[in-house]
Amino acid sequence: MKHFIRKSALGQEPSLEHFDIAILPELESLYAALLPSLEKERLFIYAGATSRGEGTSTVAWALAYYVAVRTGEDCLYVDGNIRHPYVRRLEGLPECGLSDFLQGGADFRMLPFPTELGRLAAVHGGRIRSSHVRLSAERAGHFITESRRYYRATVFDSLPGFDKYAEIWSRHSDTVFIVTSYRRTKQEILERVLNGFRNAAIPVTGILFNKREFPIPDFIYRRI
Amino acid sequence: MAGTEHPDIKAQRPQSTEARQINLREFYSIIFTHKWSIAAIFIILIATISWGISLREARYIASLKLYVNRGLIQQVSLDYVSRLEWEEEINSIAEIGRSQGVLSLAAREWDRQRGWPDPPIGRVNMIAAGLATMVEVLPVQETDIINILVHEADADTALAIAEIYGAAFMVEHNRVNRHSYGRDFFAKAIADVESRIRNALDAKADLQTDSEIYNWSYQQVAFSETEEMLRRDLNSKRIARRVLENQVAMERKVFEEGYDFVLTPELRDDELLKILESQLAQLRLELAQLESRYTGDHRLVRAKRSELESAQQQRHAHIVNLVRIREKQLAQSYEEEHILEDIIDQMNARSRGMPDDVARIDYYDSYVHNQWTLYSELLAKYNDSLARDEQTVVEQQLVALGPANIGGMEGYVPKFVFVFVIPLFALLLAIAFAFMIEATSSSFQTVAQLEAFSGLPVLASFRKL
Repeated sequence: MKHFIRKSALGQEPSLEHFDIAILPELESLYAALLPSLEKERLFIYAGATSRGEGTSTVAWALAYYVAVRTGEDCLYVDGNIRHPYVRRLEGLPECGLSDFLQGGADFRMLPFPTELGRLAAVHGGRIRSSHVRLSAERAGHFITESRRYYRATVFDSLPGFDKYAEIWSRHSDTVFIVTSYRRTKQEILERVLNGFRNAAIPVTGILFNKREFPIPDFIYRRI
Repeated sequence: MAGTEHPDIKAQRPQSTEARQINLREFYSIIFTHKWSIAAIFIILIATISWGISLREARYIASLKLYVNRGLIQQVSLDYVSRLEWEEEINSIAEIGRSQGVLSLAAREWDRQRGWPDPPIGRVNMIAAGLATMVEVLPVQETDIINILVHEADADTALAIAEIYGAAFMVEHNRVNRHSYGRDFFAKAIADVESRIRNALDAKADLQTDSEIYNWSYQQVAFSETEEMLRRDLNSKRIARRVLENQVAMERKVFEEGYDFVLTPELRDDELLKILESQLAQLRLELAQLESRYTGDHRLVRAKRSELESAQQQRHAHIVNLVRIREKQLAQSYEEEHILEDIIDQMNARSRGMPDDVARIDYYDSYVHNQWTLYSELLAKYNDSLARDEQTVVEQQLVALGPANIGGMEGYVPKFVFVFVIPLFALLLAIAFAFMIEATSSSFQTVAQLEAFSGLPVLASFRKL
């Protein structure tokens, strides 16, 4: 929730004013790209990354909240990075998370918990260690079906890179985004991830360029 | 910025990823992106260069310019001096300036000015070696100027050394020129001729006043004294030879006629002969005893007699051998006498060949005349060499163009270099380093790069907050 969404949004009704003004145009263009699909069905959005630290969780939070604001309906953020979860402090949160669901011991309705942002719910990564999780396409499909049932849009914050886990989730997703970052993502890494998706015949909808910097100060930029 | 796309997004979208010329915005973008790297490298470079410069010792360079005055020779005989001729001439003069002679002269002068008029040669060589490392003699290209450069940490010392070295250079140059044109040789030859004439005139005057100090008188005396000494030697040898002749004659009688009693003292002193004589006497005594006891036919008497004869033959053979040796000595004495006689004859002839006073005076006159002729020839050549020397001095004269001055400093960095050049150099190097980092980076910096590489649309470009 950091960076993109202001703290003043906590506990308030959803509003565009809760977003940092610098990213609103980008979120709007992204929403515009999703809008045709969003009008047809409830979306399950896969947000992947090339490597850790690209800012995937921040983008996913912002995207989920933005869709909730624009549609006026409930949306869900899923912390799918069960190895290094974005939601780490689980005090006061539901007992079960994504890993518990994938292990088969929890009902989907027990997973979501309301966030301090209006119309945005979240699912944390779970308390079972990722190495003990036995992932099956059926459980993932069931999770996606259930999330579509209850939420207008679900943003799945996945593991970085491309592996079996990413393949299963992205295959069942409606839209696949890859988050890259300015001066951080290497060409070789991005090529390897994209080749993974291509070889698995999973279409990548687009790329989100994050942490973009404009090093030239404006007062100089205007003069050159 | 709110609600509008940052203008940099479109501006920084290149047409392709191939190498191309960057624009000003991209240049600034690189500068500001790597501003901290540039600042760090800049500080490191400034510190390193400053440290390196602080290690250098500032040294003054004193300069003394010598002008090679070649005006006359150019006016008279040379309309055009080619570059090669110039190089040969000026470089040869400059080479004199670098020679050990100049170094030694300057070293001596240096010590003399410091109150040590006659330093030992080791000290001179040590100072000269030091000067060789401090002084440069360089012709200024395309001119007739030779520059003497002295590198020294103290400015006053540098100036003093330049003055001393320049003076030594000019002295050595003139000396070499004089030596080259032979003036010294003729001057020495003239002095020798003058000395010989003076001696000859003195000798003639001595002869005319019956003085006996002239060497010819000594020579005559020496001849006569030598002859007398040789004659004395000859007489002594003849006396000794006669004695030896008599001895040999007497000794010859010993074995020719059997006169034992004529044994000469030399024969009697012979040790082997003494032994043989003793054996012979013993045998004779034993034979007498046997003959008194036995008859003459007794075998013991016969044996002893035979033994006695054998001993007598042995003694006789030894005496014959000794006499032969005496005869050889006698023949050698004859030869020595003949040699001495020949030498005495030669000395006598040379003594008789000595000129008389009139002839001697004539000889002196002739000798002095010849020496005067030689003197006039040498004087003419000396004057020619003097003229040439003067001409050389005019033509090749080294003239100091003013006193020595401080031409600059080495190892001294001016303030504007510290303030402007070094920081600019460090800044440019740091920027170049930043560009190198940028050129070797494989990360994405623009949306266009990302789209071109991935072949996928970039749906959003979130700036870093």
